[in-house]
Amino acid sequence: MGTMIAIILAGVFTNNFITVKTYGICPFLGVSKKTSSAAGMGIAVTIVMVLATLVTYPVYRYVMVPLKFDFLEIIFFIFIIASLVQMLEMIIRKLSPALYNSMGIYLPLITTNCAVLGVTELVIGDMSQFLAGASMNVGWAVLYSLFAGLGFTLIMILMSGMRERLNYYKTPKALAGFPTAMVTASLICMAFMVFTYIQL
Amino acid sequence: MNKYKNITLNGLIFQNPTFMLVLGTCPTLGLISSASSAAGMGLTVVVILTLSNVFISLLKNLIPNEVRIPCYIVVIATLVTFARMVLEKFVPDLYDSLGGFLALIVVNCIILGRAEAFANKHTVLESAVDGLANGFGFTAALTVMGIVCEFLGKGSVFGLQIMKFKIGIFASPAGSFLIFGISIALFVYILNLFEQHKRVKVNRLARENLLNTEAA
Amino acid sequence: MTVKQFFKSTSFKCIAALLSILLVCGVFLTIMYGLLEVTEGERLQRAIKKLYGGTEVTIYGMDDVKIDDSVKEPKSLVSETVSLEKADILAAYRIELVQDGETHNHYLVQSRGKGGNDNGTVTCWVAVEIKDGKISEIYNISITANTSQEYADGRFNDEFFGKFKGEYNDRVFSTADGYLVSGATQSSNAIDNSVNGAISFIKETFLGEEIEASKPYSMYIDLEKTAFDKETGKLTVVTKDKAEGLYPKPFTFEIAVTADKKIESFEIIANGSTSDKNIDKMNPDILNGTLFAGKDLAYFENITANGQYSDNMNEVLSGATQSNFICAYACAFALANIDNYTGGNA
Repeated sequence: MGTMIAIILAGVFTNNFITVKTYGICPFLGVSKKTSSAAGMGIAVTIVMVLATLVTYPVYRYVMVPLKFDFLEIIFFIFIIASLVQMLEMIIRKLSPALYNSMGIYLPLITTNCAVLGVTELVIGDMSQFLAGASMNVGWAVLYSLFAGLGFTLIMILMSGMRERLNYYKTPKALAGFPTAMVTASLICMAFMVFTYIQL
Repeated sequence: MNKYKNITLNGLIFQNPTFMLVLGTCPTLGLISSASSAAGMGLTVVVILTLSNVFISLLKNLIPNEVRIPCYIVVIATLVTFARMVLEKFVPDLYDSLGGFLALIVVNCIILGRAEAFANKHTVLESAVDGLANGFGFTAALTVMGIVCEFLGKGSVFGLQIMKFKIGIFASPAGSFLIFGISIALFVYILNLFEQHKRVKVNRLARENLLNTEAA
Repeated sequence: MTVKQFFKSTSFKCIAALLSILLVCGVFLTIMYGLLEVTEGERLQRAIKKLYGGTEVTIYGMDDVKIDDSVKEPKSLVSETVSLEKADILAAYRIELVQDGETHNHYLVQSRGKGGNDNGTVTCWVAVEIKDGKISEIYNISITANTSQEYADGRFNDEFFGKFKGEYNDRVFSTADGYLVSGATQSSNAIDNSVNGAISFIKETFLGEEIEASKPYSMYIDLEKTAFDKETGKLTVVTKDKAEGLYPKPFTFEIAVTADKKIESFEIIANGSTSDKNIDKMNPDILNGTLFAGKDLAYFENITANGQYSDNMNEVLSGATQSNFICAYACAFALANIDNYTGGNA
C-alpha cells in the first residue's frame, strides 16, 4: 500500500514528467492550444505509455538481460513503440471511427514523443526512490507508467486552460507563440515545485 | 558554393532548430541547467545528426517510401546506441551527466525532422553540411542558454565557481522554461531587427538605383 | 495473390528493406558492443584511478577479503546488494597498495546512500585503511552516480570530502557536523549516509565487530566525558550543556550501581543548575542522594516518563524540574548502560 501511494504521488506530483523531468515537451507545447485536444493527446499518450511498458519491461528483464542483449534496448524499445502506435491506430480506426477522429490523429505524433520512450527507459533503471522498499516488478512498472501518463495529462489540461485564456490578450510580436507558452509553463513548474517537498 | 552557404546559414540562424523551429525541446529543457552537459549534449547531437543525414541520404533510393519512417528510426536508434557505447567507454563523466536524455536522442525531432525534410531529397554532401549546420545551431543555442542558466542558478559557468550567489529556481525546470522562452523571444526580436534593417537598406539601394537610371 | 506476385509487390519490398536494415544495424551493434563493452572490471579500474591516482594497487575479490590474523573471520560475503538502514552496499573489494615502502591494506566499498533530495540516492566508492584489525583512516571517497540530485553536480569538492578523509576515530557523519554544501543539504546527507553505511558494513562484515547499539538514555548525556572508574567502581556521568533545549549547564555525577542493577550511591559533583536559587528549589532528597539510592531502572523510567522531558513531569521532580529531571535521567543512563562500561562484570 505504501509503495502504491509512493508511486502514485511520484508519477503525478513529485516526479511529474513535464514539470520535473521535462519529458514530452513537444506535444506539451504543440497540442496544448485547446483543452479538448490536450486531453485527447494526454489520454492517448497515457495509453501508449502503459502498453509500451507492459511489453518492454518483461521482455527486457526476463529475456534481454539474461541473454545479454540489453545493449539493443533502444532499438527494441523504439521498434515496439512504433509498432504499438501503428497497431493502435489501425484498431481504433476499425472499431470506432468517432474515437479515431477525436484521438487517432494524435497517435502518429506519439512515436516521437520522448515521454513514451522515457518511461520505458526509466522503469528499467534505478527505481528504488519510488518503491519505498518494495522490489521492482512488472506491476509497479505499469502502475508507474500509468500515473506518470496521468500526471502528463493533468499538466496538458492545465496548460491548455491557461493558453485558451491567453488567446484573449495581446502579446508583443516577439513574445507571441512559443515564448509565451514557455513562460506559462515556467509558472506551472514553479507551482508544482511545491510537491517536490513531499518526503515519501 | 552559394548553395552550401545557404544551407549553413539556414541551419545556424534562419531555421535554427532550437530558436526558430523549436524542436528537440526535451533535452534542451532538461540539460541547460548545466553548461557542460548542454554543450556535451549538443556535440553528441552534431555527430549523430550528421551521420544519420549521411546514411539516410545514401539509402534514400533503397528505402521504399511506405516504410521510410520506421527505417529512419532504426538507423537513428542504431547511431544513438553506438554513440552511447562510445561515450560510456571513453567519456564516462559526460555519459553520467547526460543520463536518460542520451537514449532520448532517438526521439529528438531535429534528427528525424532533418531526415524527413532534407536528407531524403538531397545529395550526401549537402546532407552532411545540413547536419553539421543544424547540429551546431542546436549546440550553440544550448550552450548559450546553459551558460546563462548555470550562472544564474549556481553562480558557476562550466562548473567553475564565479560568484557566490545562486537563484535556485534557475537550476530547476521552471527556470529552464523561463530562460528558453526569453531566449526565443530575444532571438526572434534581434532577427526581425536585422531583417528590417537589411530590407530598408535594400529598398534604399533600389531606390537610388532607380533614381540613378532615371537621372541617366 | 500468387507467390510470384507477392515477391514483386510493394509490401514485400517494404518488409525486405525494413528487415535488412534491422539486421545490418543489429549485427553492427553487436560487433561494436563486443569491442566497446565496459566490463565490471573496467568500472572498478576507473573508480580506483579516481581514488588512488596513479598508485599501483592489487585488487582482491570477495573470495579473498581476509587481511591477516588481526582481522576476525569475515562474516558473510556480498553476493548481491546488502541493504542497511540508510544505505545499500553494492560491491566490496580488498585492496593492497605499497606506499613509501609500506604495505597498506584497504577495503573499497561501493555504497548507495539514501535520503537525498527528492528521496534520491548518491552512490560513492569509499576506500578505508585497515590497521591492526581496525579502521585507521578513511583514505578517499568519490561519487559515481546519483538519482535526482540536480543540485549536486560538480559541487562536492575536496573541501567537502575533507571532512571524511583522515583519521577515523569512530566518527558518525551527519549534516549537523557543519560541513555541507549549502543548497545541496539533502545530497550531503545522502553522502553522509553512504559513508556511514560503508563503514558499518566493513566493521560488521569484514572486521567482525559488533555494531554498538546506540546507548539508551543517552540523549542528554555527553558520552565523550562520561567514563567508568574501575578502582572506585563509580560511573562518572556528565550531561550536555543546555542539552536538547533544556536550561541547566552540565551536571557531573558519580553513580555506583549494584550487581542487581540498583543505584548504590548517587552524588552530584558539579551542579549545573542555572543559579543558587534554583539549586535551593531542587528536591533535597535528590541533592543528598538518599531518594535515588536502591531504586531500579523501572523507577526512573516511571518518574522521567521514559526519558522524555515534558513540562508536566512526575511530582517527585517538581521544584527545579529540569535539574531534578537531569539527575533522574543520569541514573537511568547509568543503570541502562553500566554493562557497556564494566564489560558485564560489575
